[in-house]
Amino acid sequence: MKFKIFTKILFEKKRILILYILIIVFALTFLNMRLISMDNDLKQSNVPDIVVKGKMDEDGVLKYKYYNDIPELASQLSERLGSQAKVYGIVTRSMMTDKDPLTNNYIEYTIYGVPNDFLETELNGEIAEGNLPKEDKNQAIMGNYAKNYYNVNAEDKIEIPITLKNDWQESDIGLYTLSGVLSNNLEYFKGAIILSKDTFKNKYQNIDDNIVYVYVDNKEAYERALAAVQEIKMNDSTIGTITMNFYAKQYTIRNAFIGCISIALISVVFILLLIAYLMKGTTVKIGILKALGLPNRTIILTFNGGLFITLLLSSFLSLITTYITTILFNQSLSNFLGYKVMEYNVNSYCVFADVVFVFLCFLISYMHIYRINNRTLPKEAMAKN
Amino acid sequence: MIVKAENIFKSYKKNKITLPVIKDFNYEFKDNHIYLIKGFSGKGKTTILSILALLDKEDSGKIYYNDKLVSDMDSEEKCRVRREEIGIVFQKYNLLQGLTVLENIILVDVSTQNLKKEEATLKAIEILRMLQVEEKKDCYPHELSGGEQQRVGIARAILKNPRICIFDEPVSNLDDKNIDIIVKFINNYCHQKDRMAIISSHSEHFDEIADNIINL
Repeated sequence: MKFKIFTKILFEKKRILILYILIIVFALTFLNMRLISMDNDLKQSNVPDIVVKGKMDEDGVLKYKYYNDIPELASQLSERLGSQAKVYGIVTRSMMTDKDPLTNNYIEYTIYGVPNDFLETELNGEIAEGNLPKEDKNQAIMGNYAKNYYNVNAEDKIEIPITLKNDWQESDIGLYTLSGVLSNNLEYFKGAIILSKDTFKNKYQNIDDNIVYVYVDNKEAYERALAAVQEIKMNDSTIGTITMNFYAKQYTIRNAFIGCISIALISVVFILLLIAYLMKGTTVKIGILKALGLPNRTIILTFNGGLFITLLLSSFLSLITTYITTILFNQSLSNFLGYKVMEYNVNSYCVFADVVFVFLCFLISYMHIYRINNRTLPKEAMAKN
Repeated sequence: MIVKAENIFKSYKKNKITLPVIKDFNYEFKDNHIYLIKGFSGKGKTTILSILALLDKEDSGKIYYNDKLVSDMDSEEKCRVRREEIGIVFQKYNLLQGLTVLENIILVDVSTQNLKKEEATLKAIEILRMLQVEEKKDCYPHELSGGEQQRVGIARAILKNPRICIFDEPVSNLDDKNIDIIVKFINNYCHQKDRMAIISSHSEHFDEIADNIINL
């Protein structure tokens, strides 16, 4: 009986309760979808802060080994920067380029031979399906676009030539199996086929890096790393282009957070205004209940209990509506692209945000009710107007 | 039960001016009696009832229930006394709009576990039958007339069979039929159950049943 009484005293009419739940569910679903987008934006901003490539041949023709070697750069940078930056020497080989049906931009389908610590540190949390390649095994992971382009699934043999040598041969076809697929949102590696260069070196032959990735944590480290790269380049003619992503990354991350925080604040304020409107007339109701002999504890429980249950129910329903919305979005995107994508997924941010939302709204309302209860005298019930 | 009011003074402040409402009120109320408080508007009828019902605090003076000083109790104790000993009927009915008639009546007793829900429901239906509004038990207050709402208010007040029943202008704005039902009910209830009723009213209908009339 208690839940029924709580909500009846607070909302008076069932349709008002339903309306409140619908509004809160809508606001929370909107917030959750924004959080999912933020998560996608953050994942898409998971790119190296500085990318240094070996020079290309002057004819500009896309060869298998597109960038020339820069064998010493990674070790030189590591020595100079120490723990201020993470430096990875990468071996790349170019497969082909093709147009992205979604954005109409060209995607480079590229083989990356990366050090094992790059797999463990930078890609460990980005596997959507399967696992990272095992040490000493001929296994590779792919970006989502590569996986769909080459039409493979986890544990399938990849029937294309995969090698880190300067050129490929027929015998390189089918050497590798797909161990895992990267998350859709890892935009930078969506056309990538990634394998361990350490395993390749142990099994086949030594190969030199032709790209270096630098990851930093702050602006000072970035400035120092960039200065080091530019200084080395001045004396090393093998170094080609330097791409700087640090500020664009920070901008994306900052905008993602600001966008979410804004939506969250607006949602909370909006819901609190709704609750405040609901609380109109609470003084009279509390006065009546006190006059009838209901103890303070029961009065506070009556109003806050009903509100808490409503908020909790709305939060739970919003997770369901968010899940349904992500299914619809993914289905729509998959239909457009012609293959299955799971770009939108309910994540821990949504659950966390909903919990914080319920707690925050409840806490503010509790304090409001508590204050009104303490201020309201039972003689209010005897008032003539 | 004997309720004693000793040297009660009460005033209100309005625009920095103190307006005395009750000056040196002394009276003793007993069971099985109906007390009618009469006076013009603003004479303090509702104020007296509020103080006797422990809803408001007097400026000075004392209130005793069976020689026990109750006016100096803290708010939680007064709340308990109101819940256990006093039934209050308000002029403005004060039914909770979101609850049905039955839920309004049994709310306090069931919420505080004074009575089990089934027991309270049966008692409530019986009282509603005596007040001739049993068929409205599942209706909401806005679906009732003024007279029906006031009868529901009376049912709520007496569900727990309180020793002291306080009625603040219970029949104002009601028609003769409703007044008749209410007056008869109060008279029967008070004398059959050996209870005390303190009523403030302008209506002459209560003159016939009142054992004592207090003119302010």
